[in-house]
Amino acid sequence: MLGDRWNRSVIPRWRNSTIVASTLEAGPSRFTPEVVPRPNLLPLLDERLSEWNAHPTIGGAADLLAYDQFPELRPHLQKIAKYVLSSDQPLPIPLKEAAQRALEIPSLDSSDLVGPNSRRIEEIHTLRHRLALNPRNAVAYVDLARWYAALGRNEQALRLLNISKALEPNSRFVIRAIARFHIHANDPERALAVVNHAVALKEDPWLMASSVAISNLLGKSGRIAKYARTLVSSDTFHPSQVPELASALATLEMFSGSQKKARKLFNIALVQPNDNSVAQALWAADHLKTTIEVQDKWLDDPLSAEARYYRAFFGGNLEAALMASKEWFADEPFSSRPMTSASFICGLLENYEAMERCCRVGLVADPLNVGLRNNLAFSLSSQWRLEEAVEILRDLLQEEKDALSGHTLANLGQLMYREGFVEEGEMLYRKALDRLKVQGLSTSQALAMAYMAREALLANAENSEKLVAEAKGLAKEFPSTGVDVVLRSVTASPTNLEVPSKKILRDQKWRYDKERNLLLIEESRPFKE
Amino acid sequence: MKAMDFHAALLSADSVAKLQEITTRIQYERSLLEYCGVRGLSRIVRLLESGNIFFDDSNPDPIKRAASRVDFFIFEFAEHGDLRRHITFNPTLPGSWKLRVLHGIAAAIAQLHGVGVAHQDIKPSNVLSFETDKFKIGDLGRSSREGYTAPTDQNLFPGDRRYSPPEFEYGHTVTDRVDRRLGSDIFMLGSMISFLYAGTSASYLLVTETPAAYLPGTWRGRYEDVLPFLVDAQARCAQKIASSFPSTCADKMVVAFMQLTHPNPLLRGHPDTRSMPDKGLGIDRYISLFNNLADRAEIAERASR
Repeated sequence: MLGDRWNRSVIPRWRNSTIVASTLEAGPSRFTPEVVPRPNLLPLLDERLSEWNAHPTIGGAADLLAYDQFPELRPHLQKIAKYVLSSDQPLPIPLKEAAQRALEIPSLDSSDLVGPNSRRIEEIHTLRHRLALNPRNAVAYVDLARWYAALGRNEQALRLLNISKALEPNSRFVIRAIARFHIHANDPERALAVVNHAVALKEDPWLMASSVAISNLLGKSGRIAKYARTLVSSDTFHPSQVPELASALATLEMFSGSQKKARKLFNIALVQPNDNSVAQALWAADHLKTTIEVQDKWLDDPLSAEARYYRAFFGGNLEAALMASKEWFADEPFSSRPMTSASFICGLLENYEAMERCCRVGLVADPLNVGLRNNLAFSLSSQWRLEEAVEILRDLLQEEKDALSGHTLANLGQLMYREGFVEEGEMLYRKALDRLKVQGLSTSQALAMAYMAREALLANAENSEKLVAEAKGLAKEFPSTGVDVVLRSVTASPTNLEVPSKKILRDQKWRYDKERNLLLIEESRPFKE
Repeated sequence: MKAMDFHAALLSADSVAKLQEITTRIQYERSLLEYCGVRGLSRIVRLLESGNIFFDDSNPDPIKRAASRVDFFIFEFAEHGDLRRHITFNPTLPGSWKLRVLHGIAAAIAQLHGVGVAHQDIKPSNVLSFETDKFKIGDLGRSSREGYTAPTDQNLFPGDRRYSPPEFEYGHTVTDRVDRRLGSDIFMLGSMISFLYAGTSASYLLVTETPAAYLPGTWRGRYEDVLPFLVDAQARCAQKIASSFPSTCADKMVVAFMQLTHPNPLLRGHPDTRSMPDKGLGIDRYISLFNNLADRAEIAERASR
């Protein structure tokens, strides 16, 4: 459980189309014709109201209520709306809603009455029905694909996204959703190709932002970055249209070591930021070890759950971070990161059952996610469900064969400690530390060390005190919220580390083959032979 | 009867232009009504007489005498008035009635389109009810005739804004006459479907289902870019009104509504007809559909008596 740090990029969000409509991303950037002037319709309405007053009928009232589509006329429709609602006829729902709307009476949204799971199923059903009515509805294909991706049904999601692209090859909404999906499906090359082939790439700052961010993710310089930098500094676009582009460019500068330029670009991004640029700025502030003046309104945005997570976590408020990660998951149900974060926090809070639940929820959308599976193995080992942990780690070992990750090695070390193989446990943890060092994951290294000390204490290892001291030294060198919490738990409340009297014993026999890097398990059969 | 008063025009700041405008409109509408009569368009309200009278004919002041002029058209008498008066949402109204209304409107549109005229102002007040189950369209004042310049041709959309196709609200126009003028008529036919069954116009429904960022007046981009979101909003509208249709014909009515009110003017109409070059919008298919559904409903009503 070492995932308190990752490299973040301003990859596009993938949200429901109605939510996207409420964000800065919904605004056009290519073309801004004048708004069509609307003639003053009031004299005409007055005339028609007089006619209706002379002969009021439900049909006439329905006809007049259609004026409610022009907001300036709404105050003049109150009498009509009341007449409709007081009718003793059984009214069609749309007419009743039109009258309620004119009177600004909130209508009950049935989706408020159902739980999240039922809502997900209901959403899918509604979208499928909408597509049955019009199979050329690109927006509905994207929305439906998002739910399929959240259920881990990536093939279906991809099929739907391909249809949406065939229908609307130039739509920003469609292109960014497809790019996000390919990143989710671990195919960032394809994501980049989709964005870079967009006709409007050079005119659309949102597509350019995606291109720069994905290129950065791939370690490429990106063919559009230079051009985009000129546009951002030349005020070609309104500040509301460039938060992601400026953030993506700032991240690029940050990784290339130009911290001054990065800070300047972040400031451009934060003139009129969106949730993605705020999250990126908060993440970058921690990464750059610098402070950032965060405006409360940025975090008040309901869509800023990820940013709230970073703020709470880096500030050491684990409960708030857990809450934010759950909100983040509600926003991006297909993404593994929110549940990776939630499971990590649950682990720090030593609520391993909750940690297991978070991992399992996250794995629905991304069943092969290595971080989540490692966290799941950790949560199971921590609950002394070692057999189940072995199953997961065995699969990971087989998959990672040639390039075993520090995370997997550390979890294997934990397992060994808990099985009573102290020496092997330490050996694996040391290997993990080396691997993490090579990868430059210094905070994960400190965290692995802290966990090794904890496991050594728990196993009553002779060198446990020495390991605690070593962990403290590494924590000083590479401080982080996670390490602090683990070390506090190790040193302040040793009772936490008591081994439960009734730990679940394994009935499978297994051993670790160092040379072949395998967990070898003797086949178990329903009946003992 | 339709009467046009010159009094207000004479008192307006630009009285000469205003008078000219009214005169042109009256002449245009009269000639169009006579043309429809000559062509025997049975679904268009027949002009019986037209002319003008001076209420103050004896006034020696020529200006005051001119101001008392009223031009008039006398049409055949619609016994049941217009649709607004006749419609109810009561289940006691036979199901076939609304289908006959739609059949009448579709037939009227087809007759007009057949002689090169686009009505452009189809709305409940312009649908008149005559003897049992006979419906006609009136008020050709906003119509456009192929080969002629109508007084309202320069307007982006000459008809009632409550029933206008969405593209006009975004300032988007298509150049092709079929897509622009005739396409508007069939959009308004679709709007009559929603009015008859759900009590609201298609334009109103679309506005209520479109996210605020994409509404006319807010959206500042190209129509092509907002179109995918309008297509989605239109499908939401169809979902919303689906339960308002009788179960016996709900599926067909929803499909017809979707085709007729498609936000893309280039796709509006029957897809099978639209896929064939120069075959029009497929209004004949909707005449058959509504007639067929009305016949079935009548048979079911007779059987249940």
